[in-house]
Amino acid sequence: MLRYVLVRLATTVPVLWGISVVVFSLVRFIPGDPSHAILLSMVDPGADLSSLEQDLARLRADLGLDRPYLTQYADWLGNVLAGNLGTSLRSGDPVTDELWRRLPATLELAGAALVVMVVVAVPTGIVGAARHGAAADRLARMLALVGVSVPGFLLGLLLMYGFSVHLGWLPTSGHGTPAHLVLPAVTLGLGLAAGTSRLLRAGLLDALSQPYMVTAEAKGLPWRQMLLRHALRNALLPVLTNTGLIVGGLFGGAVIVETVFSWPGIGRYIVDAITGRDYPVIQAFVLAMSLMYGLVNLVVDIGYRFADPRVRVEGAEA
Amino acid sequence: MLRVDGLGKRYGRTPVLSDVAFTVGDGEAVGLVGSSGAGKTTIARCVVGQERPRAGSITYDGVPVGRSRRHVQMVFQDPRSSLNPRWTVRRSLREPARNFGLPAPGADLVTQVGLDPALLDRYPHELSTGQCQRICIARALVTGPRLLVLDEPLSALDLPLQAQILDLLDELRRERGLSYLFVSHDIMVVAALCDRVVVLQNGRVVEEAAATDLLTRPQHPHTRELVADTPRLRYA
Amino acid sequence: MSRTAARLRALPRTDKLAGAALVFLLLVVVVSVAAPWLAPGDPTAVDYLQAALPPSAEHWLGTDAFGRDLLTRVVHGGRASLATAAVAVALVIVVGATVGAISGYVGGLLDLAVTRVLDVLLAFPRLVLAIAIAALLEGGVVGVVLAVSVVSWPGYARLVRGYALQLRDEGYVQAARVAGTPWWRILRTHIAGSIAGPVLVLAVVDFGEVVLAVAGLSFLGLGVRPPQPEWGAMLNEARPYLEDSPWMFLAPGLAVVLVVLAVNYLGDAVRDALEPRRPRLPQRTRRRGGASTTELAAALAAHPGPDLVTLDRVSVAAGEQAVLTDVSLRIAAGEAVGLVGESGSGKSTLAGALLGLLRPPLRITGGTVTLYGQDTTGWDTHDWRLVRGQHVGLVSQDPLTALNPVLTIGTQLVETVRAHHRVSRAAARQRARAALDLVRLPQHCLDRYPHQLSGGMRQRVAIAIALINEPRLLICDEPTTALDVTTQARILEELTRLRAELGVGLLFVSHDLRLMSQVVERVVVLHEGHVVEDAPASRLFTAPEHPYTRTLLAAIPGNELEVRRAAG
Repeated sequence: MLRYVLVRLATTVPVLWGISVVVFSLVRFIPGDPSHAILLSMVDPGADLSSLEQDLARLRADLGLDRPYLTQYADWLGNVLAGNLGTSLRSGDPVTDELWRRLPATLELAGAALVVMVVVAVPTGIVGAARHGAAADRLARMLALVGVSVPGFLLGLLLMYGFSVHLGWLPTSGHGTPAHLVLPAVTLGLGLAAGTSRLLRAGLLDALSQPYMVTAEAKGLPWRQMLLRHALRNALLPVLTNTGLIVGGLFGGAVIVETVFSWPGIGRYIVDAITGRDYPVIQAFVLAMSLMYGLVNLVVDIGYRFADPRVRVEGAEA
Repeated sequence: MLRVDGLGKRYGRTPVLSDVAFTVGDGEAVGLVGSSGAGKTTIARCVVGQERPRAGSITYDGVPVGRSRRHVQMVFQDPRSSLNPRWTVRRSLREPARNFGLPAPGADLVTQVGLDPALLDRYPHELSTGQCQRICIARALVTGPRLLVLDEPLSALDLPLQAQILDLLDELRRERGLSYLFVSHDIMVVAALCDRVVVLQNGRVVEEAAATDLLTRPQHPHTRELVADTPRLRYA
Repeated sequence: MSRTAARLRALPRTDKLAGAALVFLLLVVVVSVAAPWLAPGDPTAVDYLQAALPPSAEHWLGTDAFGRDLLTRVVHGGRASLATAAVAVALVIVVGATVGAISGYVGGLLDLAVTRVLDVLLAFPRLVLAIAIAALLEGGVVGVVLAVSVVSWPGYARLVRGYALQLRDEGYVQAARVAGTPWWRILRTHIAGSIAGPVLVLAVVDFGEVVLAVAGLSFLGLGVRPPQPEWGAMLNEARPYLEDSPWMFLAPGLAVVLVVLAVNYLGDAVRDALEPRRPRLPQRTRRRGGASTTELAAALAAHPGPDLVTLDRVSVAAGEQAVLTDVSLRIAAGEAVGLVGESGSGKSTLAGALLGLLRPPLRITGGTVTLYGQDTTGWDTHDWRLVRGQHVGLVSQDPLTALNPVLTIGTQLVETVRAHHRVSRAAARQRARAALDLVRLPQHCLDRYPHQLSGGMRQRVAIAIALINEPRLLICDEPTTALDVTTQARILEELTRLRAELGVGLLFVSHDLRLMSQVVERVVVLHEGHVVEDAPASRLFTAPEHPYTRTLLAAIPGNELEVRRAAG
């Protein structure tokens, strides 16, 4: 097992390196290099750029943009490894600090959304499969289909309209009390729950149709045990494989949901940065999110080895 | 004539074939027998150039195989999966012809393998497993081969069907002067069709003998085991 | 017509809702394409006198804060949203499928390089990377298309690569290689043809997601630039007016949801049509009168009668098609009966019917199955559970798939005991050990998973599970088909020995009379759902009465050789 973890960690290194190259290049290959963006953010809109040629050249030199690409990359990578993701163009503060400050709010939202997801997806998925074809299954399927078809921002606006504006039960936006958390978490959680519920239902139906379920049935096992021990254990494997996608959806969805509900997390910060063309922030955001994503996938992969004995042994022997 | 010499192959660190040598003469049917994992299918795949051996040589009439494809064709174990489910029989039969610039085969080939030419425009899912295997045999004949490699062509079939396909293979061999390399785990089936049998164990040839001798006077202990384990009717 | 085409064509008829979704989507496409003629008003013309009007006869969907007609904007907005999504999906499919198919089929260094690149691209959370790319490209339609395509194609490529990798070993692709078809032609014909279906399904399923992504990016202000209409952008514009003018977000919101819902429903329907997976689920039935389960339990345990099983004119059908017709069969206590027939003769169905294990569309249409003297007609799930695993054990065909891959052998044995007896876990484990001894497997197998054992060992485990509660009847459904001759011979010996030791009755189902002749005393020949002969083994093998039995005997390979050997 330890061996597998080490091997898995070793394979992560080239991927991390690839991520760093992509993130670095993202900014270097945009039309007009970052110096344009910076200059634009400093001068009045509509100013004549041609008069600023000299400023542009000086700025490029200051930023090191006139140096060879590889040198720039090496410098940047050195900074990143030291935990320095650059400074915000607008505030002048270190991006690392800004992200750290906003991380707890985003994690709070993501955690709550995950709880909502599990609470909704697991029972509906199981009921859908156990009552395959019955009214409960059809209803759960229809709801899940609607769930994957409604964009998060619209669901957010609808919930806000219903529960805050119309009924006045919950605050429309902001952060602080548990009441503030309800709508954003439900918005984010429901969207993910729909997909997960579909996946779990399909996995269960697949598992229940396998020959080993005939064996289980022929042994005279009670239905509960067939469903929850034999089928569910197998059905969770595809769900586990998709945890990466779910978490990716969580991060991306958080950006939108935080915007809708003015939630003071990383997501809203990044949207503000986009509006302000604050490219070091955008770059740092992608890098930070990818690292977290990679970490989650690593944990999931290792967890998978525990859940599926077939892979566990192969991994140990590899 | 097919000559296999000093054939060696390994997957990772596990050797699967070591120093395998045998020949299949013109018009001869040679059986390749062994339990699962003995390396039978690996040899078959090497002979048709689908796998490259680590050592040794495989030649057909002195030419290394892989280049003499037209003369060496193969029939696979599972007839259903060896036909493209989205293609009609006609299209499946046309494929090898097209590769060698030959005229498209028609009704007479289908008749020769004992089928109704009306089946030409059917899809595999509209045929029985036995019919599928006959089509596969017809496809292998399209290029006018001189050697057919038969890789467990009967094991997906029930016994009565097995007997019919065996008859067909026997007939085709006599009519066309074909030679066969027949791979099977069933020593009885092999003996029914072949003149000579090569017995494999763990990737090595342990015995080679005429089919009838093998059943009546098996020499190697493994052969004796195989003969003893082969099911036969037992009644008091 | 090929199966794929036939299934697609039948779809709107079999699933009315899918037909409706298709019509709706076609309508949306027509309206979007014809937008300049259908909604000739300028979607960007500002008129503050008309600002924020609710829906009315003049403005069906109302107007926005700038007095622009919302219906006009929704129609024109759909043009932008859908065209953007369509271009993105097309780009993604072409790039993803091409790269994936070539990489997977050709393999080697190319594949290695492609996989590495994909690994890196897939290491980014999709929407996060899309947001960053769109932001850095400063938004606009091109930016959105690129952003969505760049983050989506690796997923496609990986999936298609997976298909291609599988297809490379598919029988017909191997056959094509042997037939001398060059690799590029195999890619163009076999591979492209095979992945077209799944890729089509993916495209439809993903189209909804891409529409959502495009709308999401526009909502963040990264897509189509105002004042040009686009659904996501319109939703963003409507946010400040949520309280006073909800119609402003309802109009574009409803448009997005309806289109995506229709696409997703259609996607599900197309997938179900192309890859029909009719789940065959365990059946749970309600009791229809008769003795109570407790009474039944007592009766089964006390069973004195001579017969373990009696089938009286039992018929089974799959839907309308008859599988078994008027089958009668008896197995006396301690007797070994063989059931022989070709594949499709209904012999496995018969074995399943004995234990109430038939799954739809199979159902018993007539006759009675009697177990241990009890008529099983009307039994519910609880009643059947009394019999299954306790009074009758089942060993099925393929030991590779008959054991649950994620549970240890020990667990699978122990739960069989505890399903029928109130005993402690330790006591059940003790019985599990004894059961392993019985089939001559070492004790350490208890903690192994099925995949760690060989096929023969797995089949022994299956026999141990079937026998652990000491039933008086064992059903073996083709128990050696998946094994090679040597292992087959050992399993047959094992069955013979266990029968001698335990005196258990046996129903041995097989297509091979040779195997049968080693273990059974009586043979029942099944042909196309009918019993054509039922005779003691010695008579059936020497003097078969039915022509079909004679065909079966004649088909045994090497029969004449056998005779020659006996003579010489």
